[in-house]
Amino acid sequence: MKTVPYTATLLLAASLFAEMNDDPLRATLLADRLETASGQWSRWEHLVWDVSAYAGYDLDKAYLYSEGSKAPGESESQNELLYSRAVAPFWDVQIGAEADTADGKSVGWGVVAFQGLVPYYFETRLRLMVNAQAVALNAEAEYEMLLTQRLVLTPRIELQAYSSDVEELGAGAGLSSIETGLRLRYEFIREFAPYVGVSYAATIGNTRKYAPIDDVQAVAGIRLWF
Amino acid sequence: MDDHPAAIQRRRFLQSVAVSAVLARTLLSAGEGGSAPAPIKRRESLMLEGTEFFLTLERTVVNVSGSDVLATTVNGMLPGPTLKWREGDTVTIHVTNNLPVSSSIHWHGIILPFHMDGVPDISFKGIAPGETFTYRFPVRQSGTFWYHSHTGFQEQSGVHGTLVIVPKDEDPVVSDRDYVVSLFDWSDENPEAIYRKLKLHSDYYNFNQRTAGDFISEVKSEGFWDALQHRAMWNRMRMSDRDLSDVTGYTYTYLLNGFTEAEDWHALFETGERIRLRFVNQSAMTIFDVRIPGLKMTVVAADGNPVKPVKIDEFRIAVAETYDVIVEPEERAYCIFAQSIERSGYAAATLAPRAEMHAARPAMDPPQPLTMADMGMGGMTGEGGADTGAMKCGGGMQMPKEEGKKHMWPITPLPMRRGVGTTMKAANPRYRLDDPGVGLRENGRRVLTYADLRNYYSTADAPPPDREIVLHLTGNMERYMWSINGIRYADAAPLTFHYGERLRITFVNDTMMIHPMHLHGMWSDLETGDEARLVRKHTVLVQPGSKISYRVTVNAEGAWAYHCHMLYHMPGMFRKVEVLP
Ligand SMILES: [Cu+2]
Repeated sequence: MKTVPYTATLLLAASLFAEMNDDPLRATLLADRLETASGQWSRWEHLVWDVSAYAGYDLDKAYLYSEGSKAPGESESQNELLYSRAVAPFWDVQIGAEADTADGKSVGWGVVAFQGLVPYYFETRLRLMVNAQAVALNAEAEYEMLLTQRLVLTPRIELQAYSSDVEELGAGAGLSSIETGLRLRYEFIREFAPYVGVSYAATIGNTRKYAPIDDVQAVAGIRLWF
Repeated sequence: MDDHPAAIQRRRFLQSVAVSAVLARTLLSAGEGGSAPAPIKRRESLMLEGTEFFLTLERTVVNVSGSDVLATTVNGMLPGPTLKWREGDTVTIHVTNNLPVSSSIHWHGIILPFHMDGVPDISFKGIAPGETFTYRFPVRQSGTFWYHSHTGFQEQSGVHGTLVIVPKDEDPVVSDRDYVVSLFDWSDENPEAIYRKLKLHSDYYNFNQRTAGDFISEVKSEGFWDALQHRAMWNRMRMSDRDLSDVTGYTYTYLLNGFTEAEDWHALFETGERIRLRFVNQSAMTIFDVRIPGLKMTVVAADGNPVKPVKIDEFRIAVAETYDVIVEPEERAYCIFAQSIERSGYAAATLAPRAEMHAARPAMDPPQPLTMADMGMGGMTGEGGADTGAMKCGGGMQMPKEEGKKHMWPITPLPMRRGVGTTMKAANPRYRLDDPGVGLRENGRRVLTYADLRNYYSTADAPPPDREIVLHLTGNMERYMWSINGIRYADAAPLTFHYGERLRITFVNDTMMIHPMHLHGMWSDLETGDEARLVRKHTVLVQPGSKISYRVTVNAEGAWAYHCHMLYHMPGMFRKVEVLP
């Protein structure tokens, strides 16, 4: 007797809703990148995460984003909490707060972001961060190319810029960093897909005086959501 | 008794039993005791006949695809029992709700007083847990219909069954044997979980998306620039020409009379007999393409109403539609084959003289992509720029004769909203009555289209419309939002019909999905090209990017539901209709 599926469906069936609601509350978490990287003499000691979660409805959602990396002797992260409103068929406007950290120091920002699907199916997000010290801009784009129904190649690019130096974050004025990657994942189920890939990260201009990075890395990780 | 003697002599009505694959062990108080009940036995069950019926809705453990899961069932059966009524009788049905939530039964396509229609919050307040509601109404029609829960997504988990109504007078359809063939899409997943996944990722169940490999083969067949332009056009619009079904065989097990293809339900016959097959699509989300390889089918009724016989090889049956066909098989086994529109699976059974015979299954057809015509752009062969050649429907597009004189009656303006919930507007929607639809074009078989349907009885005396309303079917596939005129049900004012008027209703499908639209309480007299033979239907399939018109005589008082019958479109793509005196 298969008690487990039985019990599971029992729980689900108990919630069989009676009313007709086209827009029920829902919550989801997506770990788009959970990976470890190897490059520049490091041996798979570099950990990277890129996670988002939301709870809400068709039009209104509360979003949480966390992106960052950890390596021996260094760590950095960007964490956002935003209210998101659908304003066009493919576009959301988001507003909220962000806390960035770098090697134990942290900086707060107010954030406005635009998230959506541009023609040709590029997933894009453009975010503008403001505090007393500086204005920062972050742009990212990702494309999902299906090699087969389950094998997906994802090129990705992210750019960051600052209006003036933000010493705590080790960022210099102007275009500060570029990060680009190519990942190949296999979706065993939609919710679970391990991947391998390469990523390239570099600091640019004034930022190089804080951290001159120019690094090609091999990456391996999983993408999962529920 | 009322039957024509010749007809009665030839007919052994519903000699086979109606079928219910699961006669289940039910859970009157699920969760008690901690141990799960044994899986139920799958077998055929009986049809109920008479004027008084007792139906019980309950949770039942079923095992359709290898796991024990809970279904919501009628009298412990999946599908529920077939009810056989007789035209002219008054039927009484006591429906007891043993589910832990409110429920309802709606009599689909049945013309009845509105408070017997069984739609919660419109016709009545629903049936509370533990309560019994008694339906009682005169049966004023005959043919093949069905019933289902109109509450939440209970239909998906099993609350549905077939209605067979025997005519009071002579049946224009003469047959020796009579079988119900119900089609259904069973999922072990909870329907709410399916809906949630669609809201999170609308392409979750679509494993037929365009790939890089497809592009290479397109380059080979179309040349690089045409292939690139073709692809770019769809991508620019952020739409996929592979959006054929929202939910697929990835989660569905397709059932015929409650049986899987492997369980192989049998319809038995003796050689030389005329057999009537009553196809009913009781699915939540699946449009089926049905054929019996090696056998011609003669369509004799659509949505319960007799039509002029049409001989065909194949027909498409949208969710909630019914078609009666006559077949005259030879001494051999045939496969009754119903493949889902996106070709991710099929339901099948055997039609044979003996139970030990088994019919081989044909291969599924490859899925066809949508064309520019399905987006309401361009259209006929040779038109439509980059889509040249992609849209081939045989002859020209047939359109209703009165299209040119549509301004002879006033169009009632209705509120319209374009915004987050609408991604597309059909720029050039056309009547496409003789288009068999995506997946059935140019397949070498004689496929039924709406243009083939002619009412068995004359409609020449029907009054002309007093006015027209135009309803746009709208949505945002990316966000999985559905609406009518860009306004979802929760935000919409009811539609107002006036008792005694004759309406023309025109649908414009501004989406890339098929929407089977169902008006409760009144007939939809479909314009298929012959004014004197308008076809009576209760559910009308509206092809993507197309338009279609029908007439409604407003002859039923009260409040009625009007909606798309795709279960996960229905919560948004819905209107309440109020018939004012
Ligand atoms: Cu629909």
